[in-house]
This record gives sequence, C-alpha cells and structure tokens, in this order.
Amino acid sequence: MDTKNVLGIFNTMVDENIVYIYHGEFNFTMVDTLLNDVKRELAQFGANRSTQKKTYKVLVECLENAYRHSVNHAPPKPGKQEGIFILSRNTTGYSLIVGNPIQNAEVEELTNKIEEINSLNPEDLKEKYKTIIKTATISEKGGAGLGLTVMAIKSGNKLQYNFDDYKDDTNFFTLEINISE
Amino acid sequence: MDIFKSELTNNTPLVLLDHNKNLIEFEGDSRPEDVQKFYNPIIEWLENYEKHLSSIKDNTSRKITTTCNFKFEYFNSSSVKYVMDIILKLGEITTSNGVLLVLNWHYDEQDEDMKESGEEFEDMLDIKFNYHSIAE
Repeated sequence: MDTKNVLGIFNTMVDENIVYIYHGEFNFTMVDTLLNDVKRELAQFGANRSTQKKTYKVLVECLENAYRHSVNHAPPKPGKQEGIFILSRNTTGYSLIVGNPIQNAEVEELTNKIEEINSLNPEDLKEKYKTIIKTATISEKGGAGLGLTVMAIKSGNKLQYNFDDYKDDTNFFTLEINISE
Repeated sequence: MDIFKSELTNNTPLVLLDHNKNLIEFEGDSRPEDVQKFYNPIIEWLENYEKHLSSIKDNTSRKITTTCNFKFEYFNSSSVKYVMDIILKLGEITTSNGVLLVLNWHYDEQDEDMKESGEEFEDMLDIKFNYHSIAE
C-alpha cells in the first residue's frame, strides 16, 4: 500500500466520526465477529442501552441482507462477496452504512422495494410487517423478505440508498440507516 | 418422547422443551445461520407433544397447565416466522386437548420493541400473553 494514502484514510475517519469500519468478505462468521465488536464499541462510546439495542437490531438485518444478497451468494467464492461496513457518529445519533456489489438485474426491484417502504408511515409499515410474517416463507437464501421493513421500523427513519456503476454486470449498492438517539 | 434441549450460543437461544414438566423455554438471541435447520426439530417436538397430551388426557383427572417462558433478547427477521408458528402451534395443541396455556413474555425494560413484538403476536394469534419486564 502507498503509505501516503494512510493519512488520507485517517483524516476521513476523523472528519466523518467513524467509530468502526470493516472491509472484506461478508459471511455468517464475519457478522458474528462484527456484532460483538460493535456491541463493545457502542458500550464504550457511552450509547444508552436502548440505542445500543436498536443499533444492534438494525445492524443484524443490514449485514444479513448484505451477505444473502451480495453477488455470487452460492457457491461462495472468496473475495466475491466483499463489501464495506461503516458505523459513524453524527449529530442525531449513529449512522450505519453497508455497501456491496449486487447484480444489475436486481437494481430495479430493490429500488422499488425501498421506495415503497419509504413511502409508508409508521402505522402502515407495521401493517406491512404483519402481512409479510403471516404469509412469509423462508427463501432459499434464508431470508423472510422482512429485512428492509424491519430496518425502517426499528430505526424510525427513511432508508437512504445509492447505486453506482461497478465492475462487470454489477452495481455497487450503498444503504444508510440512521439511528436517532 | 424425549426432552429437547439446545444450549445458548452467540446466535441461537437456549431452548428447553420438557413434556414431563409441561414447560417450554426460550432465552437469548435468535439469528441462526440456518433458521430452518434450527427450528424444524422444535416444530417436530411440538407435534410429538400434541400426541403426548392427547394420549394422557383420558388417563388423568387433573387439569394440565403448559407454561411457556419466552425471554428473547433479539430475534432476526427470519426467526420471527418460526417464533410465530411455535406460539400458534402451542395455542392449537393446548386448546384441542383441554390444556391451560400460560404464556409469559419477558423483555428488557429498556427494550420496548421486544414488548411490542409480543403484543403483535398476541394481536395476530389471539392468545393471551403475560408481560414481565426485566430490570438490568
């Protein structure tokens, strides 16, 4: 690595109030490790227990979503499910960001899903949640189709997202959820 | 039938299913790597418990009470479906065998979401829940 870049990375981390950052492969074992690390960081940072719990819940859904829906889910190929996770502090609480490549073909469906969730008020979101659990079946990827809805309900905030052109047939999907304190 | 026991881990709850004591307990986090693999044996146990209750009901004059203690700290969105199925099944098998179901929903006093999850199940399944807050 070019050591001149280190200061740039350091400055970005300081400027953006980054508490925790991870870049690498997303899988079940990594989620376990990361959750334990973040739990400890939040406690050290003096976040109250209610915020810690809320952050933990949103975090699990975020990370599970990322490793289930990253490209080449099965069979897993090292380096192919890579992504980035950033936990930072902002003026209202905490921001969770997960970024990972997804297939171009999934962009439209995902956009529609997020836009629909963002258009609902808290009561309608809960109704949507109840309807999904009543009818849900567990997909081959192991999800129940509830992750994004749960993130919106638990955080009480809109889901921020972005797609950028990325390598080959993929887009880089960035999802940000703010947890208010 | 056998007593079912699964030890608490970082990502799976403690589970105790005891037909002798008519006791069902869940405690901890639920975000298993393979949710179906984790919960299917529990659903299977409940099916056997139903047969067990049905076979003993004619041989006893005393009223049976099944006690369920749910002490979840967290369950992920793919576990929710199974938790709901378990409660639904418990409601069905106790009602059909004249068994009283006492369902205790324990939650951290700082975790209103967990209390709400109980209320949502109660509302959707029409089964009475008793709520207990746990102080740190």
